[in-house]
Amino acid sequence: MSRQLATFVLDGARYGVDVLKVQEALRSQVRTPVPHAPDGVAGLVNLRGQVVLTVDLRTRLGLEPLAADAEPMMVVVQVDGEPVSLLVDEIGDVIDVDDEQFEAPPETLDPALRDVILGAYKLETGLLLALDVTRATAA
Amino acid sequence: MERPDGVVGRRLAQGRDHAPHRGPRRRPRAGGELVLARNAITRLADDAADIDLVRASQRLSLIASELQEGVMKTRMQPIEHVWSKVPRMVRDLAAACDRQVRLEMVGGDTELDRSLLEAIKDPLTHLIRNAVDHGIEPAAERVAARKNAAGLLTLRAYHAGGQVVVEVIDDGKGIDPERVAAKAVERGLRTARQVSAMAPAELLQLLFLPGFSTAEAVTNVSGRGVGMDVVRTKIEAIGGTVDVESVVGRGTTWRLRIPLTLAIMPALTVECDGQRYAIPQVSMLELVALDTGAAGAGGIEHVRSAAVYRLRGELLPLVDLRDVFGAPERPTDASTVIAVLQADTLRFGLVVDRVLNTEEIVVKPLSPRLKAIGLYAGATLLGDGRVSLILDVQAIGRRCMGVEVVDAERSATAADAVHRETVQVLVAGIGGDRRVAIPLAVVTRLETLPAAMLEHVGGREVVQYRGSITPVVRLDRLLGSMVTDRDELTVVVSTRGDRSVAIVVEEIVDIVDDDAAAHSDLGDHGLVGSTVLKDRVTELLDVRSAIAAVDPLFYAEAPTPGSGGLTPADMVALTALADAGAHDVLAGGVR
Repeated sequence: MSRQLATFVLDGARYGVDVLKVQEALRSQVRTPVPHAPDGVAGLVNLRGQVVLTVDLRTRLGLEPLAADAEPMMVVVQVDGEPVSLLVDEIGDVIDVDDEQFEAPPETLDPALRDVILGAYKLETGLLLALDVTRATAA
Repeated sequence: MERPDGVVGRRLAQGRDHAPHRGPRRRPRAGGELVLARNAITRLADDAADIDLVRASQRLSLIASELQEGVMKTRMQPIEHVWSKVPRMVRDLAAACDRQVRLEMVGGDTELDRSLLEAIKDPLTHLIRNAVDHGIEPAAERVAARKNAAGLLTLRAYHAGGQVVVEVIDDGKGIDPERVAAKAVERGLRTARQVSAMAPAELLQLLFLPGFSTAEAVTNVSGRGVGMDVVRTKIEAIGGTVDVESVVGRGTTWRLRIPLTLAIMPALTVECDGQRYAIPQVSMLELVALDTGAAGAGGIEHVRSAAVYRLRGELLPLVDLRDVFGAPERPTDASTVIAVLQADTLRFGLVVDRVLNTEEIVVKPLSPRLKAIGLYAGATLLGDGRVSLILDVQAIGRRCMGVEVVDAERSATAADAVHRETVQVLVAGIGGDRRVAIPLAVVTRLETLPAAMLEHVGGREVVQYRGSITPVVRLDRLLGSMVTDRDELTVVVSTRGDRSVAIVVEEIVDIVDDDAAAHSDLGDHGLVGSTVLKDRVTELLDVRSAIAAVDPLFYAEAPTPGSGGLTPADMVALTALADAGAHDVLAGGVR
């Protein structure tokens, strides 16, 4: 079975989420920090009158924070009917993938990451990691 | 007990029940958005030099307010819509519980947002059930207590300060704070030590803890474990508050304070560490701006690590928003403002960097992922489009003060003092490793003065303090302790009316709760006894005679109201008076 994934780049690696969950992709906006928020929460943004939680995927995935001068992009996804914005480095194409290309994450993957990474699609151009959006945004 | 027909007729005539239900949720939201857009334009116009734009913005502001008001009015309904079922419910309950109950409803025409009416239905029902089942005693018991055989249950609603207050009042047996304390300990919700330090008003707050029920017998009507915590949760969910007052043997009052509307509320925007936060106006009592650099005069003082501010003679505990958020310390030259807030029965000062504005804000729900933090009541969008968090004043107060909080306001009221077994005392060292305790009620300020300021009038030592000649009490000499000469004097100033006395001690040790039950009458000249505080024997200073020794007229003059300079003895005397008065009023009311 084939499906479509919206892709984005984090620290040089490609990640994908189910395109049906993605509401929109846009430039980052001014974020209001939330003191005492769980790790990975990057603040709140005003998305056309709606207050939307922003999650920094780099922090969630245990990556180095983005350079201070670089501007992240936002991918707004729907989780449990609520929009959540994900901070990513770059936004990629929507890619058709096939279930046959899918493989579970390797045993050697950091257990913390096994939780949020469903597995990898072996594409000709490299690996595409499938992200579990619900878990990645859970507090 | 049924409502007279005329009332029903009037309700129908108003015709609000028959308003079309199409899109009732959409309208207030659009109204809210309009207010937000208005705020944005007002903000832009404020910075603009174009006079026409300013005028247009003012006109828009006016129209938006009118429209907003109109929209709100269409949503308002009298609370009797919810109350209409109460007479029947009370009758059934009274029959089921074998009670005689007279129901009075006052202020049924008080109007409330429709969605809020819906939200208070269940909590109100719960409180009424509770009042009939646990509040009002069986007829025989009432007659034995020389009360009218029929208990009186009063529902009262009225507007107060932008809120609607709904009270459920019974004249039943009241709630015994001691039993509440015992129950809280038994349930493991609080330790015996904790409850012993709590004032009765605070003990009653324990009723709102999850898992609390004082019902000895589970009945069909109430006491099934669904307690007041649910009532509180539901009321707080709509931005309201619940509190309870009770006098044993005379009855209980449950008071719900509910905002007029959900969609929009007035709020104060403040700045802290470069971020803006909104504080609901409902919790605000007043603002105090502190002069920077003038810490000596009217600045923030410290009782050990706890910051306090002396607000018109009363100690106001302070919570620094920067500390709450773990933000870096405020630069010493930065401005500081204290927002005096009231949350439940707690009164405290929230220290912020700057106050920006009062704004009507539209409450946006917060992501459930952030609700667990428990510091925010929601979020809103400010005029410039940025998101701002709305502070949950209750939660911040509870979190930062926990159970150790001293309810400054209540502890000062005489009615409280009679039940109160513990009194807060200032523990001071007087040299020679001796410690004395001075009731906090007589302490007005703590000062450090250079010893050179001491002057003499006849044989007495005085200091010039705040422009008047203030007699000095040397505790070390008075109590015959070792005298050590120092360059600086640590002074406890006690003020009553316009007279002050400076009590010199060696050092301030701490402020602790003193349990009167643990007192020993072992004392000496100048002492009223001794006790053990913090594992140390501490002498209890006879403040009255110590002060009278240097200023015999100190207690002669009538104190100005709110001077806070009452001795415990005064407080007890006042309490007796107040209590006697209260009896008469209540007795008259029951008859």
